[in-house]
Amino acid sequence: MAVAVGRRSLSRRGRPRTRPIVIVLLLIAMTLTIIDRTTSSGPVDGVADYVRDGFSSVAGIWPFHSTQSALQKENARLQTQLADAQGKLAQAEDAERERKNLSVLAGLPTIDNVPKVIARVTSIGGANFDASIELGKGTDAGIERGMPVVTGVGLVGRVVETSRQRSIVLLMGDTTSNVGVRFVTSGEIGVSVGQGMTKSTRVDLIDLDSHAQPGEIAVTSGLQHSLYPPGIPVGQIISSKAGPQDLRRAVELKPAVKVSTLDSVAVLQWAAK
Amino acid sequence: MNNGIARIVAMALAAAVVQQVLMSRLSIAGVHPDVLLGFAIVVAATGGANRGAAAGFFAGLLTDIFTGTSIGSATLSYTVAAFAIGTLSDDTTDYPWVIFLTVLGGSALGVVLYVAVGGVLGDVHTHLSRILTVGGVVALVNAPLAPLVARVLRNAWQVQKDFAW
Repeated sequence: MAVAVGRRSLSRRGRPRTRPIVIVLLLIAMTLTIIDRTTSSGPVDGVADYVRDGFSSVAGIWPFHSTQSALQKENARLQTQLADAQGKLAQAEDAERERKNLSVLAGLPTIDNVPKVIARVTSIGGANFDASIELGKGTDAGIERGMPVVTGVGLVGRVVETSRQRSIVLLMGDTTSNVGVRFVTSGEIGVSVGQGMTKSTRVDLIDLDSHAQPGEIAVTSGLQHSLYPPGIPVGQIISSKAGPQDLRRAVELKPAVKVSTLDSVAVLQWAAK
Repeated sequence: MNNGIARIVAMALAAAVVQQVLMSRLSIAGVHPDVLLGFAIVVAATGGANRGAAAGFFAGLLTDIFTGTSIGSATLSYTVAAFAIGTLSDDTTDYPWVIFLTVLGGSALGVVLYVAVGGVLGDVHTHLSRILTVGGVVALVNAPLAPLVARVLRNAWQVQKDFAW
């Protein structure tokens, strides 16, 4: 783009003072970046929490804060009830398999007695390159980073950021999300890897001779060091293929939870061991 | 406080409120508009590189805070994008169609730089189609708003003309 004479003259006068300012800003940005990534709950986090809560408080009093009409809310309530029933069915199938292998799984924690915090979803997909949702509760309500988030039908994700009144949940469909899963019928274990918020997830580490078939339910495996307790429905197999050159079976899961219809979720006050 | 600075600060806060209250709940093709980036680009196009860099810095910082990601990706990329637009801009941005195209390109540049910086910092893992979709939506939402915002900003620069950077 051509530079006009007037602006060029001004730039020439101003140029020696232009670079230091942008360099100072970039240095401050890099300093904040380093501080934020090398400290947990440091001063940067504290200030960010206050700013986020402040603007979110403004959002809370705004007329747009609830975008659902009465009919939509009723629809969401009925869908939640249906989701609860579907979730219980999936858990019952898994419970039957668990009963047959009780001696192997005895002693592992389950979600039945885990305290929960119910939170409303205030924003879906707030960041354009993250698969995440925002909840209307935070540390004041007992929510901490790393806690699993579920609905009646299955796993949503886990809490990755908290402030006093807000939480950010990384969805299991995020490309950086890995969830250990176990197929309910065959019992095989793999890792579900996100491929995008509205897409199916890919299950890795499934052997070629696996009996995993479309329609089979997958739940969280809850193995040692897992980020999630066992038995939470994750999804249903929609594809299970193995080509002649493949070393592993390619399995795709349809997530149990439909993110676009989320209204309220339960945050499990559970910490990975 | 200088009336011009007060106007600019008020506009910046208004952009932040609009972003957090309205845009975070609006979804176009699965993308949330980013008016904070648009505001920083308009500041750069009308006020020069220094003002643009400052606006980009604060717009990026607020974006990182609002989205809950670690500080850095948006802060660095928006600062650089706004500075670049401010450096390249000249008096032709007084024309509405020029400011429209400048913000269109600047917003897309900001998104691309965000992906690049985020990729280096490990915050962003995405694919080309998503980058094109996000860049397109953000640019197409910001560009039509740019001429109006630019007019208000030029009035503010005029009031603030004695302020020395």
